[in-house]
Amino acid sequence: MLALVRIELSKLYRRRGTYVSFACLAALVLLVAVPISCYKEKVDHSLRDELSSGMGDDWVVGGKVLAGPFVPRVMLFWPMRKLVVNILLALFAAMAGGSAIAGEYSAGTLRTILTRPPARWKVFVAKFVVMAIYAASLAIFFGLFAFIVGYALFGRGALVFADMPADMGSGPRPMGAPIIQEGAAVQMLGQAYLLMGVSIIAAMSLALFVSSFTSHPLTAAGAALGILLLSTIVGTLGSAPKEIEFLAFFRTIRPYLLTTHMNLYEIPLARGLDQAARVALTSSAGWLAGYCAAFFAGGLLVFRRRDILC
Amino acid sequence: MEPVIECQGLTKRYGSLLAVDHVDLAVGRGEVFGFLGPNGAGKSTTIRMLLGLIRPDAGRALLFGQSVAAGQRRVLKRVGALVESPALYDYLSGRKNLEILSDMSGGCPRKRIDEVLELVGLSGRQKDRVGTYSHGMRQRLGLAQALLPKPELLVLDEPATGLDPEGIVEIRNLLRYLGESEQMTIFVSSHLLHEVQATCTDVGLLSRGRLVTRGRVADLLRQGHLEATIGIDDAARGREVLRSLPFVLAVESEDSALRVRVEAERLADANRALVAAGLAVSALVPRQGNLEELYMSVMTEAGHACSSAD
Ligand SMILES: Nc1ncnc2c1ncn2[C@@H]1O[C@H](COP(=O)(O)OP(=O)(O)OP(=O)(O)O)[C@@H](O)[C@H]1O
Ligand SMILES: [Mg+2]
Repeated sequence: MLALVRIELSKLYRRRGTYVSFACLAALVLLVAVPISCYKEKVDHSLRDELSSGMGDDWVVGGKVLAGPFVPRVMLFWPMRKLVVNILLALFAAMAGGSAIAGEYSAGTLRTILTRPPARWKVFVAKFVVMAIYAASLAIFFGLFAFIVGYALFGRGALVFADMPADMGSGPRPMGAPIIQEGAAVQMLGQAYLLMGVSIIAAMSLALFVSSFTSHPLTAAGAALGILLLSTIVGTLGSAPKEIEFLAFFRTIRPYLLTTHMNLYEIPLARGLDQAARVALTSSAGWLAGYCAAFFAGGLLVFRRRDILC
Repeated sequence: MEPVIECQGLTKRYGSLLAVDHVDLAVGRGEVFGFLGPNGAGKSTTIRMLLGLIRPDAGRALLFGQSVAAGQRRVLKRVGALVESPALYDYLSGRKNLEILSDMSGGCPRKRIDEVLELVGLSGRQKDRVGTYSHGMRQRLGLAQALLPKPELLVLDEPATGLDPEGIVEIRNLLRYLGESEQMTIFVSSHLLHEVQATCTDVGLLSRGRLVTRGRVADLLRQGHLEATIGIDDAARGREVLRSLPFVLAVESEDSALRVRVEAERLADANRALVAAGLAVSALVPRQGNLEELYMSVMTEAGHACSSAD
């Protein structure tokens, strides 16, 4: 089993396509971080304004307000995080998961490896494990790179950041920006990126499931991404205010959607991990685990019995 | 002794198309078995069922008494296979491909990889990506992959497609060597009837999914009748004598000689009759039976217009 995982890993890291996703994420971080660095004074100024807006006019904000943790935090501002997670990372997961089985099917390499002795279920488990590692490493790389760039450009310090409210931009914007001490900020952001890894693993297992019964990697990736985007759209409609009555149906199904629970990485950002947050987190994590298990079981079932015709 | 390959009522449908139709076949240890039949006859489908790539709709396919489809995959350790065109990882080197596939069979010494690369004539290009290989080079690598685990049974589906004339001769010699010196059982599908005749001890002819003929090559070619060229001093009289014999099926003049078709094993009797009639027989050359003729006549009998699908 371990040998199969090693083989799958070596296939993954020897493929150039694997690095496209990492390069994209790195480019995204730089695209955001470098302009901030160029307009350092302006950003610094507006952060001070933000801080003092919660207080009276006669307060002057001293000390450093723009520091390393700002970059990993700004990468997760709303609504950018939705685009990054539900579109960009979902796309990478769908592509990798899609090619993992359907890609090998259409290239014919699946028939070559399935004439070797290892059981089909072992091959599937090895692919699942390696794809989960890849999915998690996307989020971890994203976070780590943002931290590195942040600290390289802005040095150490606390986090001052005011997010947009996440509920479709409705409701008043909260006044002021919180100051989070460096240690707490690193911890909070670390949690967020790790949980994002869990979300991407769930998206990946959907892709691998679709991949187990499709014969072309693009079909598999397209279908998986389509499902994720559809679910995102339905979830977004479902989060509309209660007054819009014709959206009631979407509100009803929203709590059960994969993408709803893929939002669990937002929980530590909003309020840190207090009691209520822990409950919400555990619930979403449970849902994601359930989805993963279902996709895993479904994929395994199909893959074990599938006719290899290509 | 237990057959190496055994098909019992093996059947596969693709929708309404009966691709393999109740095939019963046994191949014994040490046989070099040529599996023949027109395009679409069901050769590859049978091979895929043997290797557990697809499930039969009825019947069983056994290797060394074990059914791969039923999960007895350890038997694949004793089998090397090349199914249709070789499918290997384009982005990996030839050597890395072999390493991966060998690891999937439980690993083998590096020396063995050198050996098979040498054997198929790819040593010089082993470090290049398979994506840069020519068609014939891929075919050679596919063959190397099949030979890698030193199998007791070698299953090859059209191994010579795309090979240069040297390559075809090399395969011929290789199969002969493996069959004779290494006592390997070989199951090879092919359209190259001359090659099959030169290498195989046994053949099976498949037509529209049905096994229509199966036997030892020597027996099949001797079956029925024999053709011979007879050098004689008086061709006209010789012809008269021969025509009067009940076991002579046909006589034709060919330059100064005669071409006869006689019932199997009766050529000596024909000679005796000529000599008894006072004729001087200067040559008696039996024509080597021809697999191509046998194939054509069997296929015509089976109602398979070879090139046209009805
Ligand atoms: N995936 C598939 N779906 C539907 N029909 C198929 C499929 N694969 C093969 N067939 C059909 O099954 C029959 C047998 O095909 P098979 O590939 O076994 O033939 P073959 O004897 O190997 O032919 P060839 O000499 O051309 O390789 C053909 O009629 C073919 O059209
Ligand atoms: Mg074929």
